[in-house]
Amino acid sequence: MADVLRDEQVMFFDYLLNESDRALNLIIDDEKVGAKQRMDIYHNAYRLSLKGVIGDNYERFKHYVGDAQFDQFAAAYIGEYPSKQRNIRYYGEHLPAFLAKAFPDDTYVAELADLDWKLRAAFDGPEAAILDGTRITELGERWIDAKLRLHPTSSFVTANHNIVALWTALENDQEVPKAEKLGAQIPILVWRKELQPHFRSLTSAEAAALQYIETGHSFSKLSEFLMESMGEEDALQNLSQWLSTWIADGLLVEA
Amino acid sequence: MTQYPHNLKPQKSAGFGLGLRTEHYHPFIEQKQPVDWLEIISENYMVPGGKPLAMLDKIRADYPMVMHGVSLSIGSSDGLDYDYLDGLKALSKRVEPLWISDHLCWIGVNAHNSHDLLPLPYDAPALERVVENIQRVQDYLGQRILIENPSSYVEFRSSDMTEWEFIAEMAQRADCLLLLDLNNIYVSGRNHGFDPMAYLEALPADRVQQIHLAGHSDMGDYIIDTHDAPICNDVWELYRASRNIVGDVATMIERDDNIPELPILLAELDQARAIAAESAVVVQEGTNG
Repeated sequence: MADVLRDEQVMFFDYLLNESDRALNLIIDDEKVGAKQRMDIYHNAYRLSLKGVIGDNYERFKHYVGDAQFDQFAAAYIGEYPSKQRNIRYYGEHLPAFLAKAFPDDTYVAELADLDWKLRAAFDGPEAAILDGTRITELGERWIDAKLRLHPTSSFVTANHNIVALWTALENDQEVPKAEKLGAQIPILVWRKELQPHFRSLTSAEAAALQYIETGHSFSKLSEFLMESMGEEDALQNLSQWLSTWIADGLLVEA
Repeated sequence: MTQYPHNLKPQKSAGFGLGLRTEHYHPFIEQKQPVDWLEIISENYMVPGGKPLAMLDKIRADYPMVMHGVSLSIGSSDGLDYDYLDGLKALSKRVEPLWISDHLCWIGVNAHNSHDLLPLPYDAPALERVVENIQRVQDYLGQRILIENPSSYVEFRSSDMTEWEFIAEMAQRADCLLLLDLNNIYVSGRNHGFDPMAYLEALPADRVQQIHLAGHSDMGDYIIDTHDAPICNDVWELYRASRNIVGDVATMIERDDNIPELPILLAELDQARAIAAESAVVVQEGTNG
């Protein structure tokens, strides 16, 4: 049996995406407003709400490029990516990749957007019981063999440009420095501490250590891994410093 | 289909509420505000964790809440999204709301989503789909839900009944409750040229459990339901009239954009209280006389 309602909804939705004329036949026309202008209210609302949420999810990126350019980026993105999210909060996940493809010579824009997206994800990402001093005391000697993970809001951004300086200036309404390529790639860690998203730059050694933990290794396994890769003295020195920072930052959880 | 208790509405209205918005988290946390309950947008809290849920729990400790969704898509021809319903059920377990509501609309098709409350034709195929979906949702949640009348900008050629006939039939067949948005009736009345009073009088009053009041943007030839302005006089008059038709129903102000300081919304809510008190006096006088 033909699904009349479905056919109508497909046509209606096609107007939201493509302004396809077929939908106008579904609607009663009138002289005062007219079927097209009535359908345009929905067509425009669709774009406005998606543009609004991209602006919320990519606040520093929007600030950096300015309203006029943001409108262009958002319109192009919305045209290419119809929303498949149930909850509008999650719309816009492909924007960093979209920007990287659209601006291969200015990839700092995509990197800045990536940092925005991951900070936003950390903001309302999952909860987890952190491994703090109290829990370590509870575990006693067993703690060094407990399998660990990073807090589930943790993620990494790879910066080839000075996006930390850009993001910080945008956040604090300071003069935004010129975008510059860095001498070497810098990993940036993003996570949530208590209710606040945070980020900080890492050395490649600390990033490697954190990524090793993220695969479910214990502190004792991490120690072995580091001793092999950097020698005993450096491993012990780095570990004691990193461990106190990681615990203070609420970065470690039991796997 | 599950049978629900015969009494459709609580004996006593839940009183006067506001929509909880992030801009007002602090005033609600810092001191007890003069509202009887708060309405949350369910989707804003259907996230894994962090500040939204922390604030929700904190504020919920001091205020009863109702859950109002925008993504149920009760008129969807795609069928229900059970992942969404799982999330809604989990949130409901956390919040223990007075009730759960969503809109008479559909939001997308073929797994694409408009994030808008799209209009339905008022005909038999749409009615059948909506009734079936409401019954499934109610069975899944184990309770009656409230369905809100939409604001709309188009009328379908295929419609062969009025919106109020559709809603009355839907509520009776699905055995659901209604969230009466008076601004939406006003907006759609202006957009489609119907009399809001005829609409109000035709609804099954015993199923109306909540009223929404809101502002809109008047574009001259049509009105857009923007929720970004104070409630207009015509909608206040509709509210006054509604008290004599649907009785003492829990009422709230819905503001989603251009959100003012909390005291401004509280003053607007006092206006609703004053109208309700006046209509209560009139009813009492009528009864005594």
